[in-house]
Amino acid sequence: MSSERWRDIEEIFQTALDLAPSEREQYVTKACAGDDSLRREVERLLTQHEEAGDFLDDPLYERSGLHELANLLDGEGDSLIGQHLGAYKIEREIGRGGMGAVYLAERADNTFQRRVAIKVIKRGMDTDFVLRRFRHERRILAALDHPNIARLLDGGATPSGQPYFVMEYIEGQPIYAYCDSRRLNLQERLRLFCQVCEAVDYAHRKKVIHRDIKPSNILVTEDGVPKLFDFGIAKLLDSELASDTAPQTATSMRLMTVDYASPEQVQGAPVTFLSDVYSLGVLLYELLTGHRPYNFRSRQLHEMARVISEEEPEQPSVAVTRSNNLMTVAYVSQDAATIGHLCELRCETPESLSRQLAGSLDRITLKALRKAPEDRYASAGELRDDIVRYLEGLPVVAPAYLPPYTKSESATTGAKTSELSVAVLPFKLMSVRRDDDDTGDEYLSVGLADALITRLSNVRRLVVRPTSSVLQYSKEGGPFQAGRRLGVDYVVDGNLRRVGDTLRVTVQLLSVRDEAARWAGKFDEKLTDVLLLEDLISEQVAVALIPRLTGEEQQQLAKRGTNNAQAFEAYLRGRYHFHSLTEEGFAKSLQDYYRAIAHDPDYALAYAGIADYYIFLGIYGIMPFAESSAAAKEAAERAVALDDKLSEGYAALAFATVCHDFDWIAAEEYHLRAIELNNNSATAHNWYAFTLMQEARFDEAFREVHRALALDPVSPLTYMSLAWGYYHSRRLDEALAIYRKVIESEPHFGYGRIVCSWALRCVGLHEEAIAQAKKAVELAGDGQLYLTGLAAAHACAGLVDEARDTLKRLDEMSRTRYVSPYCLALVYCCLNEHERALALIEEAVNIGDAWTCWLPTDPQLDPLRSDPRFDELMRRTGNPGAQSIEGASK
Amino acid sequence: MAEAGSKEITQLLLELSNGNRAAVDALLPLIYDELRSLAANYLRRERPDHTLQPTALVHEAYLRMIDQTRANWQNRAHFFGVSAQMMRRILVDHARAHNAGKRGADFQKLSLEDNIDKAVERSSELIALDEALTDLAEIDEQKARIVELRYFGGLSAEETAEVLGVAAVTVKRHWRMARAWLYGRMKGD
Repeated sequence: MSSERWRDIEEIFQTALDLAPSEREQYVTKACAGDDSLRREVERLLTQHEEAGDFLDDPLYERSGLHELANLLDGEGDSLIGQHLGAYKIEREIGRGGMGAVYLAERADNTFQRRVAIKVIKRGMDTDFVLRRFRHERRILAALDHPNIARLLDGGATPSGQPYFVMEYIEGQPIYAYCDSRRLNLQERLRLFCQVCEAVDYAHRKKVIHRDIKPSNILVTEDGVPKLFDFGIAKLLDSELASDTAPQTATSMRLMTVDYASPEQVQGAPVTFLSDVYSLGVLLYELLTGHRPYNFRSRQLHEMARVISEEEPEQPSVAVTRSNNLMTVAYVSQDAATIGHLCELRCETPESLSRQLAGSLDRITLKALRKAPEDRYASAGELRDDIVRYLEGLPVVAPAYLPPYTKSESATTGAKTSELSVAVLPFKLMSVRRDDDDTGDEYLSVGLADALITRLSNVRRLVVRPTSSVLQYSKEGGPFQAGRRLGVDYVVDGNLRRVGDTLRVTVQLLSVRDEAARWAGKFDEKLTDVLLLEDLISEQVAVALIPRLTGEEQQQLAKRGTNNAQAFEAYLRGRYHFHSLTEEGFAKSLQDYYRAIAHDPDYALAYAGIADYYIFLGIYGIMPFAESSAAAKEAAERAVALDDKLSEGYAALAFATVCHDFDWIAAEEYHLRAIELNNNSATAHNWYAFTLMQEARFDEAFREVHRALALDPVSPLTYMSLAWGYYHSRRLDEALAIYRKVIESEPHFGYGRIVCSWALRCVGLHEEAIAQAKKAVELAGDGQLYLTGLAAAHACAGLVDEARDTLKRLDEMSRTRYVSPYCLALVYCCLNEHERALALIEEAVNIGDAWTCWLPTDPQLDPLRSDPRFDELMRRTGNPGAQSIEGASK
Repeated sequence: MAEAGSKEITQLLLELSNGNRAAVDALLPLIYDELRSLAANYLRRERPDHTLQPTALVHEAYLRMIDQTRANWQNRAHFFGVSAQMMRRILVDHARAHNAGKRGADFQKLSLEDNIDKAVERSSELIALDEALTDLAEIDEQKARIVELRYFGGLSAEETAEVLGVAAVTVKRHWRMARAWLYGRMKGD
């Protein structure tokens, strides 16, 4: 039909329908103007319109429930009910699970009627394979003749090709429902469980592993006899399990209930009889406590697998006192369970339940749940025997519960004083009241956390994550998630609310491993007393972590930077701005530090803040190193003059002393002093590593970087240092691997890209080097560090014209801004203009450009190393590494 | 979903909305997988009295599969359009498979039973509708689209109008014409 024709039909059809029915015929005749076939078409459509009734009016599946779709997807769109499968007629559906649906069926061709359960496996299985395996295993499975095992009778395929299994029909309740609805006490539950163990043990002796033991696979009859279903079925359904030694894959896990799977199962390691023992352990844990042994943060398979493989379940006696990980008691009521309710179902009070579980039952349960199969009971029978011993009042064989070694355990038990790691998260602002300052109260959120971080890190036994890392990892997710990402034992998390002049702060100290609060406190202080607040919080947090602080530690902890509240507030604002790590934020932080100093001229920390400010400006190429290091040095000297115990001050001073004075001996001293004052300062170790690299002392440098990484495992800056060290020690592939990772996670980090392009050039990846340099310029602007990097990338790739263009730009720029002769020399090196490069380096040495600290090690300068003038220039920097570098430059 | 990454899936979904029907074939196994796991999840989680609309399920499957950074979420038409297409394909495919199965040896015996008859009838109807709708799309694509969105996608006339960016009354007019035409087609004249 032509579209014109269709349009004509439609027009007349629609107009006619808009008219009263009595007027339609007349209109149609007129409108068709003698075109009989048109008239017939329209009339037919109008008739069909009348006849159609409610045709299509109801969406196909709008009114039907989910079950229908599920059936459909399972390939059972039309129920099997009433159909025959082999000799059985399907009566009704009695259950549905991950594998498919279970039906009640009756044997029809027999005089005596026999009821069976038929499990129809959902679509997606390789039917032929399943049936072949079934025929193979049938003899073994059918031979499982035990009062607590539901017999497997037959198997086949439905007309639509789905495998099915015929099993003994058991009338009963799932095991948890049975126990809860009859309020069985612990002894009764244990006896029931023993029968389950016997069934599993029996099957194991017949060489059948269940692989999928879970409560829904265990029904208990009216007479209290538990019956296990689905022995060996998991194996039949999974082609990858055809061999017992083949690893279990994610596909096969999909079929199973991961909650009861063992570590080896979720890891894809071979499944053994001991995997069943583990699943029995989970069952026992839940049966006794009403709690799940694990707290899964998500139902994602990989997350569950991680938790099952790594986390230790809590002792049952402790778990029952907690309100997390409660199981719902769906069989009794729809209400969420409470501890009280769970205990009531066991005819106990919370106290008596915990008391009964403590000791033997804790030990038995946790032995069954051990991660390593060889640590568990050697068989289901042994597990049963130990429970029987408990029931008979005999000592059990399971060893005393020994928590796995963790740092936190050892510290709280007062054993060896190893380090505890803590992260102080930014305080959540409960009411944001904008005041005149553009940061409102937000500065308090970060600032107070930062102040606590500084305070707490004075205590040697605490490893406190630096603010920069904390800010990065606290943006999303809850405190425990942040804690895990930061890799700490404890998290300090709190809220603050400002009411008039009063600041109300609530703080919790949370154990990441236990997901529980260790300590909580609430403080109401005048805003003018924010210092007192800091005192109180830091002291209480520290004491909660380390019950017995030494006198020295108490002193360090109590150390306030200032007693002036206004100075402190300004400092907090400065830290807040500083941690934005943007040029604008840096600028604001400087103003705040100066304001702090105006209020308290003896505020050492504020001076250290200023020193940090200048160091970062130098590193990011915002300011020439010569200038920035002079200013940094001045501020750092002032800071340590005011407080000679200030690690931050010495770290900054050391860095500035190298960059400004090339005084390598003094710098070393300051570095060591900074570390001595606070061995847990990632910054102190990191800055020291830089100096060591410049001196080509790479072994020591890497030790320091790794120490910094251990203290601050998530900081991209520390990773950059590691890569920087690899680069200067000619381990270019390793350097590149890290740069690429950092760029991947911090795609807007221009500095990372430019130094990456240096390394790329050195290994001859010119195109990528150009791409990274271009992107860096795009992100970080046309600073000289970035433009020289781009020019060098072009030059190395043989794109001389592009390189010269950029050099022209740099030349113009040098009239108004500082352009490092060292960085220019790198470009001329790439252009093979070695004389020019040497001249520029000489200029850099003359004016004390801090980049010349890298002369002995920078791989980009290798073409110049054979020239004796280069050696002389190196020597002029006083770098002790200048002599030893001959080896490194190879 | 091991064999196709989320990027690839998104590409397929976008092609689907651009009219590439072959994309449906590539997507279907993945969609089935996703839907099965979703449906199983809901069945485990939901209380028995709580039913979830299958169309909502398809929507969720789509959301989970598509790479959200690439899909344009302003484009509701795309989202509902693809969902409705997915729904149509799933249901029609199933009906076809079902009918094919019934042509086997035990068709005679089984078809004696009432409920089976009904099911076969319904499957055949669905297949006929699918074919008629394909024919309609050749004559008047917008009408076919509206039927797809409403009948398979479960959208109301107003929602359909919103998705297509037309007035609800326009949708209703297209609908009555499409319905009358489809009815005739399926009746067999």
